[in-house]
Amino acid sequence: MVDHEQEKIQQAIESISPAPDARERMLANIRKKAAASTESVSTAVPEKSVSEAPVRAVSRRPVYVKILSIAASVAVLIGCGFLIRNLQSKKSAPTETSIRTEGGQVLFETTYSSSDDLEKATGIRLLPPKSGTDILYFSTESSGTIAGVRFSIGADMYYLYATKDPSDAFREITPDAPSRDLDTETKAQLTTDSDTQTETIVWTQGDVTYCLFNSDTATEDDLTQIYWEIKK
Amino acid sequence: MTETALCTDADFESFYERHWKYVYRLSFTYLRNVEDAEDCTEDVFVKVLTGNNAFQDEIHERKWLTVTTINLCKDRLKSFSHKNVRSLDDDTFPEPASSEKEDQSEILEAVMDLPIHLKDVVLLFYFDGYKTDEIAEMLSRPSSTVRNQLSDARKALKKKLGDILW
Repeated sequence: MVDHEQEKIQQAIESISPAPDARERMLANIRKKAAASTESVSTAVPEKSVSEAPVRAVSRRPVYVKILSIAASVAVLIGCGFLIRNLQSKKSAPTETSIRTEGGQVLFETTYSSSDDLEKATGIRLLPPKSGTDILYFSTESSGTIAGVRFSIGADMYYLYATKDPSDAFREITPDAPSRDLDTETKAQLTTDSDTQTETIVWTQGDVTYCLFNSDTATEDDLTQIYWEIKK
Repeated sequence: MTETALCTDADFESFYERHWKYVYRLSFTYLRNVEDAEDCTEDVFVKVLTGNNAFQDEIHERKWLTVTTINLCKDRLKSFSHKNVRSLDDDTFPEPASSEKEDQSEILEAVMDLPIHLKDVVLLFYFDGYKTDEIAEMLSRPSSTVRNQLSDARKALKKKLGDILW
């Protein structure tokens, strides 16, 4: 029975066919991205790097492209998203910069060896919980500066972002997902995204808005406990 | 055990040739659109190129690629951009080439619609052929959890697909 199921599912997944030119195009992009990631690049002068960006696949989604081009507030969020992809490395020092691109936009990602270095670069101080391990400090530039720290507690990984961007874009995350108020003092709201099985807590302290979210194995209680610790 | 590093361009191209379709397909099942799947595939191989990885054998290569691809896909799914923008125009499924492919298309759609924690185990068990103990190790979940999730996934697929799969 399992063999029959396996054969059918394998056939279904193997029916996913890459575009005819995908092999060569992706290989070229891989080489460009790999070369870019090994170069030491300043976090400034985005115009220079646009010309170095890997060739993108022909867009099949003009609506998406239009939305990207007109939604300035979303650009801040995009920066965070592509940063995460680059954080699988266990290396935590020294400071390094890499480039990520999407939809023709160039985003800069910089990692730091300490919270102090992150604060010097972004003006935002971020500290993970005391029990956090595998800590990585980073920042990204999009339409504004976003500071972040990735950390693990046990087998669960968490990301904490912070920005002084007045557009308050973190609060626009998953607007349709169910949310509940967690803390009136900081306007903290906990949002549950059933699709990706992640919970997100967004709150504001002073002029900084924070966004904390978890890996798919962490629970809402885990995340809430971390919020209370970080808030202190 | 000897390890093989990807020292030359030819080594890497051979590695890419062996695995690129697999990585693309795995990415597509999570990300559900061509652009993201291609981008994620590129990022996986960039990690290969820049990570000084040395693989013991093809099984080791495949396991490394599987775990790395799944992790990168999940990161992308969690990203703000995916939550806010991608959902507006998701699900660019490949068109069935003929009516006889419609069953495959339905199965694929059902697998892709599974919650992520169930999709993980279905793909690793059915597509990759890993045993539940191996899946548990790869996903850092208890074996009993993997077996329960596999059972839940089967029920969900059966409810959606009925006779197509069984």
